[in-house]
Amino acid sequence: MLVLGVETSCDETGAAVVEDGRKIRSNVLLSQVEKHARFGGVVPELAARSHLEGILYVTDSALREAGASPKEIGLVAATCGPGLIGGLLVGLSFAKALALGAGKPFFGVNHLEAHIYANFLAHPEITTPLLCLTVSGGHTDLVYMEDHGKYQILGRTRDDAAGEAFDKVARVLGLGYPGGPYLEKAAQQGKPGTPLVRTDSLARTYDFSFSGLKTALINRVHHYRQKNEELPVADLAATFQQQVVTILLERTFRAVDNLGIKTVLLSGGVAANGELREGFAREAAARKIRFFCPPLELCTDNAAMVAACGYFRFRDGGSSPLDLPAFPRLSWKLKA
Amino acid sequence: MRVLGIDTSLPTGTVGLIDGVHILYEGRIPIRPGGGERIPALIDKALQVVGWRPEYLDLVAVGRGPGSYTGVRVGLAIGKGIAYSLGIPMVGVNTLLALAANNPGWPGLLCPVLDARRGRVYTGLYLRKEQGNWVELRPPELCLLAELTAELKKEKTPVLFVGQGARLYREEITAALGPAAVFHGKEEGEIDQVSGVTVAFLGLLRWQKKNEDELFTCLPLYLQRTEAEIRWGKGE
Ligand SMILES: [Zn+2]
Repeated sequence: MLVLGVETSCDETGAAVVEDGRKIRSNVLLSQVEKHARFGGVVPELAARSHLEGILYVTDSALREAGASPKEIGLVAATCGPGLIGGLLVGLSFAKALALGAGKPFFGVNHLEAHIYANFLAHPEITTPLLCLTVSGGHTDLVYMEDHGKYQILGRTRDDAAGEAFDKVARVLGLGYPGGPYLEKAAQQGKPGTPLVRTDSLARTYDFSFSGLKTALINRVHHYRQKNEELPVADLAATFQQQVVTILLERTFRAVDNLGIKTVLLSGGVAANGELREGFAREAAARKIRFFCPPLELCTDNAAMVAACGYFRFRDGGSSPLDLPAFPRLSWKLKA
Repeated sequence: MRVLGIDTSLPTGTVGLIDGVHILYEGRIPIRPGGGERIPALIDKALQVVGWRPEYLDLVAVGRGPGSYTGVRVGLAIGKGIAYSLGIPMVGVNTLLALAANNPGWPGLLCPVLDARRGRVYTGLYLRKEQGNWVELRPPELCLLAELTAELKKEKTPVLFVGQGARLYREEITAALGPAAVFHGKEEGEIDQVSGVTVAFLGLLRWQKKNEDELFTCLPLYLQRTEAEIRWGKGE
C-alpha cells in the first residue's frame, strides 16, 4: 500500500510517498531555514504562511516523483502534533481534504512517534522493544517503545530543546543559524574545559534542562566582553557541546542500563552532531547492544517518517476521523 | 456546475453546495478559537446529505480573507487539498465581498468592516449590479477606521455597513457620517457571517468570467506582513 505523508509541524514543509511503511518512493522537503535565519529562530506566523505557500507544490512533486496519482494512494497521513499550531493546521487540513477528495482513509500522526520511524525506514532489521532519543531544535525526548503503538515517554526537556540551546549559544558566540552545524564546526577547533558553574538538578530523573547551562555560558561571554578580552569562541563552543552531549548520553544510557535495553536509536536534527553519534556508538559498543541512527535527511523533520508511522498505526488500529483537531502540545500517546 | 464553497476567515466556518443557481446545502460550525480543521468533516456530511460523491464536484471556491490569518489558511489548505485530489479547479473569493453579497436587497453602496484592532479595520466598498455581479469600488485594505469614514464622507450617499466591525464601531461610524450610515437592525451574528453558498456563487461567477484556475496560486489576503518582518524592517 502507498501512503502519502504530510509534515508541517515546524519549519520544513514535507510530502512523501512510502510503500508498505518501509520503502521510500519519494521524499520532498521545502526548507524554510533561510526565511527564518535573519530572525535567529523560527517565527511561527512566517512558518505558517510558508507552509501554505509550499504545501501543494511539495505534495504534487512527491506524487509525481513516486509516479502515483491521488487515487492510487491507499492512505493519507499527516502530522497532527506536537508542533507550531499554525503550521500543523495547514498540513492537517490539507491532508484531510485531500483524503476526502480521493475517497481514501486519513491518519493523524504523532510527530514524536514519526521520528522513531525514520529509523525503521533506514534500517529494516530494527525490532522492538527499543529506546529512542529524539533530539532537535524542537525536541529532546527519550522514548521507550515496546511495540508499534505502545510507548512510554521517559524524559523530555523542561525548558529549551537541545538544538534550540545550540542555536541560542551559536547566536551569542556570533556563529551562524541554524546554530548546530556552526557550533560543531567551531568546537572542532577548540578545547572543552572552560569552567561553567551549573548544577544538574534533574540528575535523578530522565528529564533534561539546558537553560542553566546556556545561561552559564552566556554569563561567561559577558565576563570576557566586560574585561575586553578576546572571546575564545572555539573553546566555548567545544565546552558547551561537550556538556550537552554528556547530559544526553547520561540520561539515555542510564535508561538503557535500568531497563535492560538491547536496541538504542538516535533521531532528530541534532543526531547529525558527530560528537553525539560517536558517543552513542561508543556507549552502545561498550554494552554490546545495537545502535541505529538514520541518515541525515531522515534525521531532520521529513514526511517519509510520517508516512511510515501512519502505515503501521493505520494497519493496526484503523483511520482517524475527519474532524481530528491539531494537538500543538501532544505528548504521548495519541489515540487512533 | 456543481460548486463547493468554503469560508473559515471569520468566527463561524461555513460550507455550501450549489448546482448552478440551485442551493443544495449550507452548514456552519463555530471555529473560533480553533476548529477550522474540522471543516473536512462538515464537507463530508454535506456531500452525504446531498447524495453526491466527491467526484461530482466541478469547482471549489474558498474565502481568502481578509480575516483570521489562521482561519483563512485552514480554508485555503482544505480547498487546495480537495480540488487537487479531484483534479478540479479552485478559485479564491474575497471574504469582504462575500459579506457584502449577503445583502442582495440593498441597492446602494455596501461597506463590510472587520475589526483589525488598534483602531484599524479591514474594509472595502462594493456596489451590486445586475444578475449578482458586483463592482469593487475599493479593494480590500487595512486602514484606520478614521481614514475609512473620512473617505466615505465624500460619497454623499447612504452606505450600508456590514460585518462584525460595523456593529463594534457603529457609534464612531454614525458620529462621522450621520444619517448616511445605515445599519441592519438584525440580531447579532446574522449580518456578521459569511455564507458558504454565497462563496460558491461568487466563485462560480469568478470562474465563468475569468476561467482561471487559482489552485496553485491562490493565497490569503493578509494585507500586511508578519509582526517579525515589520519589526525587522524598522531595524528593531
Ligand atoms: Zn521533529
